Amino acid sequence: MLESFLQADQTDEPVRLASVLLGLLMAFLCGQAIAWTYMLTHSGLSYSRTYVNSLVVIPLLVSMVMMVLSNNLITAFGLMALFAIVRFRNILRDTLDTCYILAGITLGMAAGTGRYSTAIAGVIIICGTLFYLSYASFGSRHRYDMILNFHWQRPMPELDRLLALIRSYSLRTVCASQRSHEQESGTDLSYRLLLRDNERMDELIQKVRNFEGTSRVTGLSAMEESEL
Amino acid sequence: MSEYPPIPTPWRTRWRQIRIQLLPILVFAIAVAFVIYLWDQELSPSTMSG
Repeated sequence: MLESFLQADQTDEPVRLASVLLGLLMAFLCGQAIAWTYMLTHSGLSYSRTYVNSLVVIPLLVSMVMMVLSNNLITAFGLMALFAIVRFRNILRDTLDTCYILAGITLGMAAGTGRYSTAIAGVIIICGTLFYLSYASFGSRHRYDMILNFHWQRPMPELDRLLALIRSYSLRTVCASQRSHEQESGTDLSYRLLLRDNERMDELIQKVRNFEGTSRVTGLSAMEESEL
Repeated sequence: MSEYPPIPTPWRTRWRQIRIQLLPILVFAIAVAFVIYLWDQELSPSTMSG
């Protein structure tokens, strides 16, 4: 029974079940590793469970495709025609989502063509890179985490003492805007701060409020300057 | 001594700075070193005898 099953494929070379299973299982493992990486590193609002599932299935499908093709040009053309019928029309919202799909496809191709070492090395490097990018918040520009606005009523040279106080709480202090009014005396100032300790933000605001010459003091906690 | 000495920076803030600023440079440097090593090992010109 098993023998007839193994010989059921009408091909020139006999199909080795073990190598077929190895290819498919390798594709499955690569797909699952990619899907786990996506689940653990994804940030943003566009999370989809079906997309994660497809990350596991795509390598399997591509692996199967490569096995079916088996260097046969006629089958390859037939398959291209079939793909043209299926048409994937859904738009991926995140560019990184496309990278995951491509990772699944290439790993599936590697597993399907028996390049197991390439598949293993590829999945390790790809997943490692994706984890590293997520952990290091790569691409985010963390330049400040607080915006401090206040009105300064005293002469500008006397501002240095207040700035010394602000700098004692921040690693980086940048004056974002300075505005004076025609009708009223004083200057509106806005500073961007990279705080030494986020949890002492209220303490800083309170100290600035108590400082002689300040009024209308407001503090705003700023998020990272990046897209979700 | 300044009128307002800097407040102590907690470890989690320091680690965040390292993670965001230093880690990419470190990873890049390691990758470059590894590429140079592999280049020497794999792509060194073969010598012809005879």
